[in-house]
Amino acid sequence: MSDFFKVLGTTILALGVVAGVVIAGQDSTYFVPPPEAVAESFTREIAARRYDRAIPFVDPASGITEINVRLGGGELHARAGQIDNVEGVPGVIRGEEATASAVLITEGAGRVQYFFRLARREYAWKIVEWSDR
Amino acid sequence: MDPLRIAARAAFAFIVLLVLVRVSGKRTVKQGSPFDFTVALILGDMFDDAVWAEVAMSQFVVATGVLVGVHVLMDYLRWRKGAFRT
Repeated sequence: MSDFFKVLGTTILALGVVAGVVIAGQDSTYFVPPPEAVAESFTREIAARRYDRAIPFVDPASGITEINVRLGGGELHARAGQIDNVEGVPGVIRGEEATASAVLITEGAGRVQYFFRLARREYAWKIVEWSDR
Repeated sequence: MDPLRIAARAAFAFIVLLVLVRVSGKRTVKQGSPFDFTVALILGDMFDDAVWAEVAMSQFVVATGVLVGVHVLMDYLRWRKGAFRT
């Protein structure tokens, strides 16, 4: 049973270190997913048609709803066909705001790029604006 | 992604996993059961998610801590009650 408490203690200690870095150290890219990783994860969920799993990456106050995401995803799949790869591209981080993009390599439309504006909400980057080209 | 960030995340996640596995009482592969191997695979997948920033480090720590903690509890119950075979 002592092993269990050692595991519990280690977990609490590690969480304390993470909280110290993120909250006290104002970290926004090391121990929290950076903007390009959020953009890539969001786009991967759309590419896999898992629209409900894309929504947690969006700021609830942004006005982007699951319906918007489904419509955007449906349009992408109709235009681009099979999606072979998704890669996040870093943008600019300025205080609590950031930009990033995600490049999709597709069968039908070639290279498609999604552009994102993100804001830091409760220590995590959330998408507040999304457009494609 | 910036290599420095990848290195920092990999180093921290490695240290957390190393300490968790050590304090859980497992020392060698020889001591392991097939289920230990399964847990090791799951931990490896979590490590991958943490290094590539697919999850926040706090989520990684909670997930690995709970997984290893439950695994240790199951071992304890198996030893104490003989009720579980992992």
